[in-house]
Amino acid sequence: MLTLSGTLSIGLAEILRHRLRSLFVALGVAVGTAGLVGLSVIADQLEGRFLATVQLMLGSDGLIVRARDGTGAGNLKLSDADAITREVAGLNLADTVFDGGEAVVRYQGRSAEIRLFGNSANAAKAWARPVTAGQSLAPADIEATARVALIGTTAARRLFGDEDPVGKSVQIDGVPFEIKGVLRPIGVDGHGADRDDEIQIPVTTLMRRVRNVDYLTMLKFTATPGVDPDSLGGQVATILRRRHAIAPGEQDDFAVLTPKAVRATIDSTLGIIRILVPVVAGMCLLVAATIVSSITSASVRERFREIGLRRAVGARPTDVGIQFLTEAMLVTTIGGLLGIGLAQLMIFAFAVKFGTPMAFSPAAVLMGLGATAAVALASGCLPALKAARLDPVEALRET
Amino acid sequence: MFQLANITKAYRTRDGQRLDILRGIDLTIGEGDYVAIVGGSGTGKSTLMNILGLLDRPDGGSFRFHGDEIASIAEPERARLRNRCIGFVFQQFHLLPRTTALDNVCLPLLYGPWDSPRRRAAEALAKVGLADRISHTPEQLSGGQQQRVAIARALVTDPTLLLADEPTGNLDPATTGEILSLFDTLNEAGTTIVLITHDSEVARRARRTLRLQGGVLF
Repeated sequence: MLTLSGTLSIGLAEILRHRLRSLFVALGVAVGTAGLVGLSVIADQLEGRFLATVQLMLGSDGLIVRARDGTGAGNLKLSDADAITREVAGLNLADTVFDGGEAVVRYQGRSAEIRLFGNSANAAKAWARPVTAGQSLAPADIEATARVALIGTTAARRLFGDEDPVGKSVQIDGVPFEIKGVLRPIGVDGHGADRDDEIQIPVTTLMRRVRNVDYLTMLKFTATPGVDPDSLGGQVATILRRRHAIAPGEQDDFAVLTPKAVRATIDSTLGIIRILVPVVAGMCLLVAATIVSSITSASVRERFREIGLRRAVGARPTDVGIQFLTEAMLVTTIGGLLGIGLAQLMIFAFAVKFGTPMAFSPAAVLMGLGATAAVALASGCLPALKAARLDPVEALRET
Repeated sequence: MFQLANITKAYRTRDGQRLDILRGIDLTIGEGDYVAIVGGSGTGKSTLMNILGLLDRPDGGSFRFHGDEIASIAEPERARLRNRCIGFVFQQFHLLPRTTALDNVCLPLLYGPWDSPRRRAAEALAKVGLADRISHTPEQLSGGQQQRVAIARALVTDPTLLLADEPTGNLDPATTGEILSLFDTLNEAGTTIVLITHDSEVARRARRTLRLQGGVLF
């Protein structure tokens, strides 16, 4: 009768004796586990981040009109916003935005390319983004096309280091501005862009003094309490098509985003991921199970004489079975741990690329180990049973 | 010590024919005995050895060990007896490759309640003259040395019976002589040996020789 420590030490010795084979099994399981754990965690994070972005942009009462790139550029005017608030009951203008793209911002000797936005005085409320230092944009700033700017924390760090940016003078695309406040940090958006690496200035200043344009890129509205913004999307689109003289059948030069519509788009995208992740992960595990099973089988076949010998010197059939099962379990466990490490690397790489939280998920680790154990048991059992049932006389005769 | 009476064993061939290998073996092995069983190929020598070694079961007859009938005991109990009472030496040595001599000799000790296995194994290797080869793997040893490791493995549990199946079949004449001298020494020290061989020269070294022919012993 074999003791537990005896079983483990034989298992380890056998694994070391067949290093290459053990390595292949472990790698197979590692890839399977990494696929399962990594993909699941990343899919979860992706979903969380998409939903957070929707929440950030639209909340539950928001409606956004965005000029389409290319053909739509230049068509969205402030008068469109006025027409919409006038004609659609229950919709209030929350913010008018001009996306100025990258601007070169200089402070003393330093310069950085920073995303530039023009916003109205309502921006802080519209995007739930107050300042943490200094002051927000005031209606007077908009009125007077003031050269004042709010700066995100990342941009501030790049430009000012540890200095307090409030009150400092900077040049934005050559135009002098004064930093009026620091925006509350909000992190990374659904496209992976750092939303704290940006500068906000009065939309009027951006249009007239910096870019010399007469159009906007985005309008944000909020529905009055009790009004569902999703029900107003059609009305808004009709008004804009009329104002932009878009013939029936022609493509809109704008897009209307409402909370439910956006969420539906995200859901359909995530729906594919939700189906794909288990399928891909399952395939990874199936491959792993096949590898474990076939290599354990090969190992049993190759080691007929060893099995016969062990039986001759006193191993019971159960000892032999347990030995092979233990070997499969040990290699699979090593592979599983390796796989969880790989998964963490995947999650880490994903986090670095997209700025998602780099969560170490104990649930994912447990799931990975569970899957590994299942693979080991399912695929190691049959060969182990075969080894246990081997007739020692036959086994020893094998050459 | 071992008493076999009217042991029979038959096999079925592939086309379903019955092949009687052993037709009634009577054999008594006493303590300190050194018996050679001689026979040509296909006479059932190995079958007899597998039955004696509790690896195979006879179809009929009686097999007593210290007076207890053991012909039909269950496998776990047979495994226990093999571990405690029987040491095997095979023609092909059957050493684990890439495993040191010491670990090879330790193998039977894994399957029983043996104390300080490594010390026991080292002592067994010393007994066969390989004290200086304990960390060599089979690949680093000559055929004769490999067979001596296998003998040490058979001796490590102080078995009641050492069963050797053509132990010199794969060795050159000089090495054969060495191994047979080792058997002589072991037997003189009290080990009971049953040696199975087709070579009557080898058999001559035993105290008594039995010939297996037509499924019975003479």
